[in-house]
Amino acid sequence: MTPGLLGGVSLVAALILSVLGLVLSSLAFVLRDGRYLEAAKRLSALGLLAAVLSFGALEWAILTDDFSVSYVANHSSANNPLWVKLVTPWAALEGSILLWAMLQTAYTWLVSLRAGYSLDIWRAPVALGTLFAVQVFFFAVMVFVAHPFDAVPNPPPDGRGTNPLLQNHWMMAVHPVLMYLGFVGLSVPFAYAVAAMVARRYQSWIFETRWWTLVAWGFLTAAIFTGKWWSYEILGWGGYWAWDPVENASIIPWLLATAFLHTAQVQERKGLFKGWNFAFITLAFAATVFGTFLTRSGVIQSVHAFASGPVGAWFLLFLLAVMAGGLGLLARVSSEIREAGEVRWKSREGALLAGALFFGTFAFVVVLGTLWPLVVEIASGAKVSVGAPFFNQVSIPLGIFMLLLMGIGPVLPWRNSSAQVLRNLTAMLIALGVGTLLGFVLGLSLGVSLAIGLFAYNLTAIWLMVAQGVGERARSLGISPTQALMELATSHKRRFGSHIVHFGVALAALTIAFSQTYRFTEQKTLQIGETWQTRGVEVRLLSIGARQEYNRFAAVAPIEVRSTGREGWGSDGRYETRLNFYPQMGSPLATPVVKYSLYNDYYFVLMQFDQENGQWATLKIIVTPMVWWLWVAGLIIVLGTLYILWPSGARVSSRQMSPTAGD
Amino acid sequence: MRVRGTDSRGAALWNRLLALGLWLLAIALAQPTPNTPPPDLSPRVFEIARALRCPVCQGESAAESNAGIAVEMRRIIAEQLAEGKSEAEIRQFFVQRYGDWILYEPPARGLTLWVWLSPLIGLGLLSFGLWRYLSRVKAQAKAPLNDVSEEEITRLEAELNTERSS
Repeated sequence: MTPGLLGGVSLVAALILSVLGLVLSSLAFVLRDGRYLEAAKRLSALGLLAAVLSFGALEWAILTDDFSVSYVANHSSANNPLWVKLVTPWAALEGSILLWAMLQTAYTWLVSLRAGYSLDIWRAPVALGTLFAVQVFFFAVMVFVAHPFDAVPNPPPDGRGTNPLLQNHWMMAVHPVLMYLGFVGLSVPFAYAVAAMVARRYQSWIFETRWWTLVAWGFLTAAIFTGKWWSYEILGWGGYWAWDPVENASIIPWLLATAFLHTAQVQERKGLFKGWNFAFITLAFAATVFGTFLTRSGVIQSVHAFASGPVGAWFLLFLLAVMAGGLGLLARVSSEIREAGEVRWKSREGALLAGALFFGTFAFVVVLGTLWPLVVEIASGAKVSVGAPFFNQVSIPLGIFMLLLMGIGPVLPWRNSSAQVLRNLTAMLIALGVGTLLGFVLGLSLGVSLAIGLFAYNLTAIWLMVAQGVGERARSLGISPTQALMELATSHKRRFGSHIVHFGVALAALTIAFSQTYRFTEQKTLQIGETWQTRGVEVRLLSIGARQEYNRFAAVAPIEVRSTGREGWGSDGRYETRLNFYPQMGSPLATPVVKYSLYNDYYFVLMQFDQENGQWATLKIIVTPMVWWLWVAGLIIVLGTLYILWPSGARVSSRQMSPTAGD
Repeated sequence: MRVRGTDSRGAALWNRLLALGLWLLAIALAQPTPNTPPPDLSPRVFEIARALRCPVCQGESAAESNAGIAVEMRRIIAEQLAEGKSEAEIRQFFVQRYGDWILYEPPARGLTLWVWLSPLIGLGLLSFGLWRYLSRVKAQAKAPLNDVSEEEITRLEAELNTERSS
């Protein structure tokens, strides 16, 4: 047996199993017969097995350099190091779809374990059927248009190699997997929502999916931060977010999922906003498909679009099906959804709804901005660009409102506010004012000063909430503050974890304000031995050399950096700037050297060098403040999410619904 | 293009532009790596280049790309800055050659004005939707509490039946 045969056969098997699963789920639904549901559950396990076999076959083909498989011939090379070969399955279109489909089968299987238990027999067939339908789509795309295992009649001696941008950094091994885990994860709450609408039980799904949504959200967040990191360390322009279509495609589902996470809490606690939650989760899941359509169809060009191909039309159809399915069902049932009361604006639910409004608006702006060049071209034939300067400017006011609400929301109680709350809000506003003033005194720009103020404001909010919670507990239970803190952190994991996440977000906002405002870029050609004085450092070019590495050729220019001022603190050292030449790429690829420090990052890129005599080299220096803290912020957000998700020892069974919060 | 200053200066500029165009074309076609060092570039050059699209790249600005044409654009910006031109004039220079497309920041007029209005439109639409939703909720809250919809009754009956049959 060859890997190509195994992969192809298991791919077809997975498609057939998915179709059968869909048919059996439908039968279970129509005939109301639990036996069909049992059979569908077993099929989901078999589907996972077939998908894993198929994915394993692709790894096998790549690891054994089987160039009779088209994917391996087109996207791998015998000279690639082992880790590059291991991650090659998601370096191009067909393999990425296979990974996506495999993760989908895993999620379907996990959901099937709940069918018949927490997922009752009226909803389980619909939820499983929805997930099987998603699987059918992905496997059909692979079998009919983007087959990873197409046979190559005359296998070449070596493959064309993997995209150099992807092999240049280990981050590429994790970022796409995290992204797909997040994208696919959103299909579960979507399937539950569909099931809830079909079975007309509009409340309980919110409790059952909060774990799933948070898992997907955590993966998406981690993926976005690792993507930023990769972009910063590899693309060589000193930035981490360019508002490029592929980046936008990843932020849109994230924004909508964030909106959903917050409004879902309103439904959980107050039985309100049911209709909107159905719409938000449908749009969030649709946005993952929309993103894939955008970047894989070739409609919009992007620097990250590593995988493109003839699958655009399929994804567009699938997107329409998801939207029509989710929103169509909602339109059908919306008149009978009963809300359990009214919204009080001056309470936590008011802040959560307002926050969701801004997240929704932000998603709307990103969608419109990404698509607008296309719209203009169709409408008038003119070509326009909507890029980073636009998105940066519009995200400032939106971000300010979101940060303000992030502080207020958790401080406000669910019921009407009290005197204590007013005191807390006053303290937060004072922190906002003092922080902003401090920025001005330090001579910082308006935006950055405001960012400091907002950081202080959010920090104060979190501090007050934790301190007051600990104080109350210590008094009422008669325990020490440390014990009270531990008690609070373990008994209110969601609340405590959300404080951690919010702190991470506040820190991220601060670092973004600093790094976007004070980035400094300069370029200079140096002779060997020459020194260059700039932004707090003295750079000396030591030599120029060349080196042959496994599958590339590298030009290296070591430099010595000495800090000459406060700004350059922590940048001292010898660094090797380099240009990598890959045989499959026309132009060289610069690999920047990044020296992180607690304040300024120093970033050196070799731009050009004297190819004849090796006498000069052109260096670019980029100095950006606080980027290191952005990665810290990302880590804090992910750890906070993990904290909420981590199963606790004595787990309280699902919270009792309040009597007003019924269906 | 509109030529500023005296005729001779204008003509010189024109000639240089013509030569430049040919040079850019040659770069775009062949991408040679000339063995002359590129000019030194000040932070100001990168600030201006960041707002301009690299015409042959996929979603990269003229400040980031290493494509020949982006390198050349940065050189032109440095030259024009040295001549004492303002940022607006340099932008205008590129807009005249490539159209508004070269600017990453769409002009706030015509069709692209809508993009600038999109935050207000989005917020307006969502707020309107929320307002309608909430007023419906209010109306519902006023309706009698024992109002069980017909659909709910049929649903309950159907579920009771399945429970009995399965």
